[in-house]
Amino acid sequence: MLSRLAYAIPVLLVGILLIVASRLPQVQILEAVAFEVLGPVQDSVSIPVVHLDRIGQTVERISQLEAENARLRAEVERLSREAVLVPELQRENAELRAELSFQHEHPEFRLLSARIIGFDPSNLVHAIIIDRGTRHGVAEGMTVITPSGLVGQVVQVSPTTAKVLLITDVSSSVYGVVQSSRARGVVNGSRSGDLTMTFIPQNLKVQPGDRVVTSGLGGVFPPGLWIGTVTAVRQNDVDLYQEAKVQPAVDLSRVEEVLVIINHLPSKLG
Amino acid sequence: MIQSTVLPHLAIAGIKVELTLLLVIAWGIRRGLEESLLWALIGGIAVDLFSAAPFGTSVVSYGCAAAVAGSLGPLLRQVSALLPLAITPLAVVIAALAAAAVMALAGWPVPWPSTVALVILPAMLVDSLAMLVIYPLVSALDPRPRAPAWMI
Repeated sequence: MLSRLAYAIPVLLVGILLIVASRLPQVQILEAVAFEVLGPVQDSVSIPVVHLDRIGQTVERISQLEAENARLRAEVERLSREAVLVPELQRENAELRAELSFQHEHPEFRLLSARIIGFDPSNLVHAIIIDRGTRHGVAEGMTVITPSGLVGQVVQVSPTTAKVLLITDVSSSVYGVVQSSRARGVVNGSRSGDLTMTFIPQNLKVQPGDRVVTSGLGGVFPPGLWIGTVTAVRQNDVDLYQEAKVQPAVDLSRVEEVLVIINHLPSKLG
Repeated sequence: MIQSTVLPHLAIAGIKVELTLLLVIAWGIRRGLEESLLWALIGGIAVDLFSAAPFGTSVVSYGCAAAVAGSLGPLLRQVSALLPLAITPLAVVIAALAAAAVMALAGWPVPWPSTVALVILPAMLVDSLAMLVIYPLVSALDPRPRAPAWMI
């Protein structure tokens, strides 16, 4: 072991010698020349090293960008979902406000909210299917409305669903009264989906723009529910009665939710 | 269920495609009278469950259509593969008239002129167009149509 350590002594002596010699001008000149020669070599070697370093940084940056990309995509998806949800919530909010307002205006009605889940598959019948039935208090004959106006009448009920015959069906008849002139008549549906008010007395004035509401006659529908608006009047002096075309108050092709008046059933006339 | 929930949103001028009826007609053309009558019974009951019309209306209506399609379809198919599609307008009209007749007998008001002009004739056009899509699908499901009995 001591013999091996002895090899270090000459090395140390050379190192000390170089340190001392470095102060000599001749040694400094040699040092400068060597540096001058090696500089370009070093420069050439450093270029690819710098590029490699940049590539390494780029690779690292790519993985950072991928992570940020994934995060931003998730954010976009979340915002897209909200963009779809918000209008729906606004619509639902508006509908609920309208229902609440209607309830305040008509405290005598007990209302049950229902969603339309289907339509009559036959082209000969205008009817809808709602998601409320006997379990929810719905019974045959009950009136179905929206805050905008009259929709129809329940004709069949099951425990969880009910079929509602729309006022636009040709078999539907509603006793109506023109609000302004108090002219009474019968509002019938038709194949075209329009309403026609017939048996209007000749001596009472009816004009386009007049509102028609339920009269309550017959006890089938509660009075005061908006049926529609008169769009045209057909009057002939030789006829006993005049006729009016009525546009339904409710756009039945767009309605999605309805209200069932569950504390009113048709009166049975003896 | 599709006819009650999905197809109403695809109605043309207020007329819905009567998918079940078209399937009964197409099956009658492919497989003859007996099988189409069976499917008319099953399909008619299924449709009547969702309809406010008198129960049994669709069974009678589809049965009449099946009788037409199941009798004439296989015969016409021997002449040309596409000729049976010409039965569709006739079968649809007969089905609609039968349904309206049943409803009238049950006490429902049926204004015949407007019923024919505004429902039956438009339904004939809409269903005939829809059959151009439905018949190939049914053919794909049943690649081996049955020959009419007189040929066996």
